Amino acid sequence: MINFEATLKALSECGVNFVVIGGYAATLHGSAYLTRDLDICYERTPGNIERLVSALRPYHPRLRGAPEGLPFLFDVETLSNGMNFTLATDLGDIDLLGHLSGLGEFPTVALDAISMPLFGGEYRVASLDSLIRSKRAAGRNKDLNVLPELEALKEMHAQKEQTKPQVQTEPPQD
Amino acid sequence: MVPARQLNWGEIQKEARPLKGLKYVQRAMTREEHERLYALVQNPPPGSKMEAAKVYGVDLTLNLRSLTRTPAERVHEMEAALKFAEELRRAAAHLDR
Repeated sequence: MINFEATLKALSECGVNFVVIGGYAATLHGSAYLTRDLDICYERTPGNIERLVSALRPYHPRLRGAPEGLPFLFDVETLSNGMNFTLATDLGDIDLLGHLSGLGEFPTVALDAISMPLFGGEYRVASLDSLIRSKRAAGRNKDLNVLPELEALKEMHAQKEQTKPQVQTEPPQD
Repeated sequence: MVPARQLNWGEIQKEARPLKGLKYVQRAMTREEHERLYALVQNPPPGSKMEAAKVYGVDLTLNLRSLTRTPAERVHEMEAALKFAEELRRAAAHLDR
């Protein structure tokens, strides 16, 4: 299981530009699904990749599920030459996604993201709309299974916002 | 209308207290909002996504309870459930030996 709070803080302290996506984003919006790994969409600029490497290197990232001893260098060059990485770290499992089905890359995902207060900081989290678009585009069974809940949640959020407190005004006194 | 005692209102207000000093503030759900959503979850409007989810097998009361909490509390609750599941798995593996 990922240490979510420590991971967010590590990324934030190094100034990494990222958006929380996937299962953790769904949970933050009120989903009841359980997830073990953290998915983030990261900005693919040279400066940000450098910051991302600095933030995660102390936690010894390696390729998740890869055979023991398979060489993997977590550095700027590796991240620059790739796009999406599924990693195991000392903090837990992290998926670094440079591109998301149905959404594209960081600038598009960040534009539609919501700023959420968490653990004394503030972090970008993919909007419910983005999550729904992404799950639909991915089209795998595990993504499609979550869609009914996410769409219902969107409706519940909308219903909640529609309910405004009734203001009672007293008739004027003569 | 749902009786107030079923909603455990005091607990909801306490748990959904807003975080202070930040740009985005998690607003506590009002009693009116909670009652309305509870009624909708029990009887979703025909053709709504809520109805579709319920038919699909989603327990929307879990989502409603989650919405009364702050995002950080939602994560903590999910992590506690995961920890419990892992403990059960470990115990089951121990029994298999």
